[in-house]
Amino acid sequence: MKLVFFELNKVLNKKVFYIFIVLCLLINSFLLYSTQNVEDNRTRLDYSGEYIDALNKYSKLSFKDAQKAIANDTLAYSIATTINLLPQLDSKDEIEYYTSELEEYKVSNPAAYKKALEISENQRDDMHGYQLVNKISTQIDYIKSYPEFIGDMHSRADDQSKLAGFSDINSFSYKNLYKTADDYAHLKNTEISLLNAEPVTAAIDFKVTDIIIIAVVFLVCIYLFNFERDKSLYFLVKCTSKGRLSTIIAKLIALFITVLIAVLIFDGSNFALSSIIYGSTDLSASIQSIPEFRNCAFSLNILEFELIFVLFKIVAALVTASFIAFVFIAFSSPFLMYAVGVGTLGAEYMLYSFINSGSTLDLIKYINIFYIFDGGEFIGHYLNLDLFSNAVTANAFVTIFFAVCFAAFLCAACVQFCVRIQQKKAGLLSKSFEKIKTKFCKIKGSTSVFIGELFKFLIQNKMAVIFILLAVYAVYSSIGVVRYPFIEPSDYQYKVYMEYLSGDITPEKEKYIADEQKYLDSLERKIGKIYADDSLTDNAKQAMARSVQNIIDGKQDAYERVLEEYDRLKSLKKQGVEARFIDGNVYSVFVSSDVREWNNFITFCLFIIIVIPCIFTVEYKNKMINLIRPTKKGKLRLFWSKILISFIATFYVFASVCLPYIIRFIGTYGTDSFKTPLVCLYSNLPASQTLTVIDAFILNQTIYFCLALLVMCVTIAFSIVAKNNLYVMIICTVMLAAPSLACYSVETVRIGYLMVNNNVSALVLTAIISVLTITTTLFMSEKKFTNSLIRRKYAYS
Amino acid sequence: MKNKIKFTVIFILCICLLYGCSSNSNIDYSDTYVAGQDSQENFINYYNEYYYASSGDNYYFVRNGFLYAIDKETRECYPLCNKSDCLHDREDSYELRKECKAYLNSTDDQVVYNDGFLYYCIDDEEYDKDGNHHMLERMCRLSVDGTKREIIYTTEDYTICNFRVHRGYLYMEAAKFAADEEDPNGEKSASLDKAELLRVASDGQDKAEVFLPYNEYRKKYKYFDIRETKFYGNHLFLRINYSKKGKSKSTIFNVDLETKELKDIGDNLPLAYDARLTIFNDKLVFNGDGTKIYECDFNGENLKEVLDGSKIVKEYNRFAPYSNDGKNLFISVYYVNPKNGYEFKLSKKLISCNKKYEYTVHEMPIKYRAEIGFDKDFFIFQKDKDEKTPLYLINKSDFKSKLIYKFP
Repeated sequence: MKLVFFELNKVLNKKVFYIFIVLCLLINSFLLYSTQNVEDNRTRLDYSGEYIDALNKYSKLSFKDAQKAIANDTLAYSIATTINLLPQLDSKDEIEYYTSELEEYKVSNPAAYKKALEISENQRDDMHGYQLVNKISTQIDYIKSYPEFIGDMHSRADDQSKLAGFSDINSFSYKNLYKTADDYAHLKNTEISLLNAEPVTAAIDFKVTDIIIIAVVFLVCIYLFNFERDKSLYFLVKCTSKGRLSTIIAKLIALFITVLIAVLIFDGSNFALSSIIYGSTDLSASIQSIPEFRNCAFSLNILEFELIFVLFKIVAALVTASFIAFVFIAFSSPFLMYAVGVGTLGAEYMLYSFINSGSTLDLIKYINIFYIFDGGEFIGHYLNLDLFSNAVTANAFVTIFFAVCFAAFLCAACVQFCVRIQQKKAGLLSKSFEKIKTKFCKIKGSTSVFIGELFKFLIQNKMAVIFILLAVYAVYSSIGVVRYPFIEPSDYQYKVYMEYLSGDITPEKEKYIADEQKYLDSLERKIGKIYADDSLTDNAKQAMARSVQNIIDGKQDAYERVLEEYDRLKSLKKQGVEARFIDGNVYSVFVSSDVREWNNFITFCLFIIIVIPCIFTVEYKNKMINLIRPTKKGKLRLFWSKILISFIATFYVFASVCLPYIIRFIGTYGTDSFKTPLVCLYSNLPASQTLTVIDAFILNQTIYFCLALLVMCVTIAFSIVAKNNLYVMIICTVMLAAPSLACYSVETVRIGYLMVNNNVSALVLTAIISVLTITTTLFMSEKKFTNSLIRRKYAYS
Repeated sequence: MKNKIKFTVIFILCICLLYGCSSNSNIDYSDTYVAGQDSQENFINYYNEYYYASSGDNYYFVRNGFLYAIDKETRECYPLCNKSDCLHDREDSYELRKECKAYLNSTDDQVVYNDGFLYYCIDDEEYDKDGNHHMLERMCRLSVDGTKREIIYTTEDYTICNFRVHRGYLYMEAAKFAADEEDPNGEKSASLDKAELLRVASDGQDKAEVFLPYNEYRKKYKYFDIRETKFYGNHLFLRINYSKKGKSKSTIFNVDLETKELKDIGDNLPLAYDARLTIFNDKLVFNGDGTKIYECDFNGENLKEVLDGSKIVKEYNRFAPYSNDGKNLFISVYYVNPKNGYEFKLSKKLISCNKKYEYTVHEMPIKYRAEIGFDKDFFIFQKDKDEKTPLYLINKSDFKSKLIYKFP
């Protein structure tokens, strides 16, 4: 017991740990709120109180009365919409039509009409009530349909099993049909209530918390397994009076306790925050009252469901913790720990996210730790797996599978800890690398601080390998073409038009446009002539006309688009803009692409996080820090040499990731359209906007480079504070990964998007914040690095 | 060291053996219809997009993105989904519809059956590494129990109009977005309908090839329009309409599937314009101008008149041999306005003939115009699929209809 306490203390006495937890809690809460605060959900958020009042009002009525009341209110809103529409109409016929419709309502449903007048007065601008009432109406329809859904389960099974292929009693399909019906049978008399569902669904559907919990697991494993190895204290730690086994068990218990507390804190905060955002809900209602959980086969109320949800999160976190602990014990190299741990979890995540259910690989999708993390699916959606033609309940099977994995990882971790020496060994390529290093990369005599740091970074920390791989990747990615984005059928003809028209507006191009209009008009006349030609049979007329019509159909949309652009360019020319034709499909993606920007951002940030920490942390680890700092020209010079190397490394990574695209783009489309003003491409930009396409691209890349430098500086700051390579990599990965995953589908969080929507203030703010943060972190890092003494107590902290 | 070499050799041998095995090793290449491996369109009418596929036990068809199966024994029709906690086509929520095993999200209602799989086409989209958005067409296949799906072929450059699976290959009639190619008018066309016939292995293991460049034939056959595509044995028969000197004509191409040699066999055949074609008793059977029905060999020789519809049913002038079940030929009966060639008057009459062309006239429970699927036991009929009218099964033994499914 005492050992457990001491191991726990190794984690809990770290201030950085608490700072990390608090920071992650803030990020988690911010992201949860941000993902709810989107355009589609704005009404629900802004009028949350009104929605709950409406729910309470309808809940007090009997089901039939509630249905009548909602139907009446829906009608009232529909009438109010018509009343609000009338002043905006121009056409006399329309006004007469809608007025007579309103008169009819006045007579047939005076109560609804009266209410509509009130609504029209109060909600002239946004009619938010309509959306809320519609939402409640959908819920009421669901409540009405649920008993039939459950009651007809067996008859649906009987019906489907009549099909050949489903009727074989030894087949998975037959077993699945009847097992499903049997497993739902106990829900026959479940009472469904009208309630506020969002406080539950918002918390359950939020996935970013899982990434944070995995990061906490990594962090705790660093404290428990990695620190002692780095300080060569394992020999001491393993010589305990009760033997190594008790030590490793104590460590694992400490790990599990910490992870359990972290899960409770984070998931608890999610439920609390979503209740604050959306209001409370009736926790005693059955979980099936929430339409999203119609297919939950458990007889649980909402509170029980939430508790089981958290329980399975704990299970998933404990299994993950046992796996990571095993990785940390089995491998001595931090790089391998990171690669295997993050790589395996990353692969599991990709398999779970991207395999479609019903594909040949769906067993891999569901026998997956992220399926358990996804509690809403795991407990909230009934599923049977096809195991050798047997229908096996997915959540039971997966739980047992991972329980076995948990036990296996625990045993393996204990055995490895007890048996292995746990000393850092030379890696696979170390001997070869040492030979190359000795032959080609030697520093003879004295050298400058910068060259010395460069040598340490590239050769001693083996970053040259990553840089060579990056160079190979960059060269490989630079080969090939940028594919044309064909989305509409008319894009093919549009591409043909633009291949000729792109560039300055010349008299020849204007003539081409005019001729094309005449050509299309002549085709229409041609169809007329074909039908008027009596020498042709009717079938011949149809065939010829269809052929001509195909041409018109193929070209018309593209031509209209070109014409629209031409008219806009003419008007821009009058305003003094150097208007030019430009292929909108190609260059709109060149200037702003949410997918490419996100991918590039994540890639170069991940590389920065892997590469930068070793510049500052290595000397802390090998205790050379006090030796290297008293250089001839002082600590400041050393610091700035390291910063310069960091900058060069960041620039190299950024260029390797981002440059290949521009090389391929220029190879495919050339540079002729680069000097086209951006206003020619985006109709929403004011004519006063003077940026060209290439200016916009360079600005975009510059801001992203500032963000890369920001990531670099924050990583450096963490490195100097944490003094541990792996620690910094894990913390920075989760601080990058969590918000990035949350922003993946939010296209407005992109520099390109801000640029093309002329959101200058956001761009300037981003740049200013980046520069300020870079300056501040560099200043603080410099102070910390140059001023602090490395006391002996560091060796034992 | 020795063990390492041993294991490496065994591993390489295993790879070679696996590579040597191909899905075409069990194909019967007889020059006749072989059930299970051959394309079924000769027996199930695909005209006007009423597609049905037939396996040993079920018929299959697609409506509004959902795959349905009709059990041949019980004559029950249901969406092909093995989940009883699913409302299938009656789900309101799009998310729940997507989770239904019967939901294909196919581009149209085409489905074909071959060797235990159902083939269909979907629209999809993807972003490439440069962030460019691409709309794609994918050919997919689904196991007949509805559980396993896989993608066979993906294209961005074509729109797949029709497809068949025959003897280990998936054939796709594709419209090509080849901007600026010339059409027979000498006009530059942005896109070409039915530009090429593509072919890919039915398990998707090989790259697709252009099997027939349809667009090349447009140079000789003006306003070339493929009306029917029928695979039979080692042949592909194409019934095409084209224009010659202002007159519309029809002809039949016979394509050898092995050599890809194409022969126009319709020159000396009395084909009616937009005639119907079927392959019955290893002969081509088609209707000529007027009311006569003919048969000939696959090379267009040994032409013989087999029936004169006007002697069987007097008040109608069109007799279209649109399909057969291997034992009986089916001829639909209707009236076409001879002045314009496209006004129709439907009838309930159906003529069936055995291999000796001994005929029987049946009365169908509904008026129809060859838009009817079939099987040796049943006809399948839906009056207007766009209006979600009910689906009927018509029993061939008594020509009585049974309502088998009402669409939501």
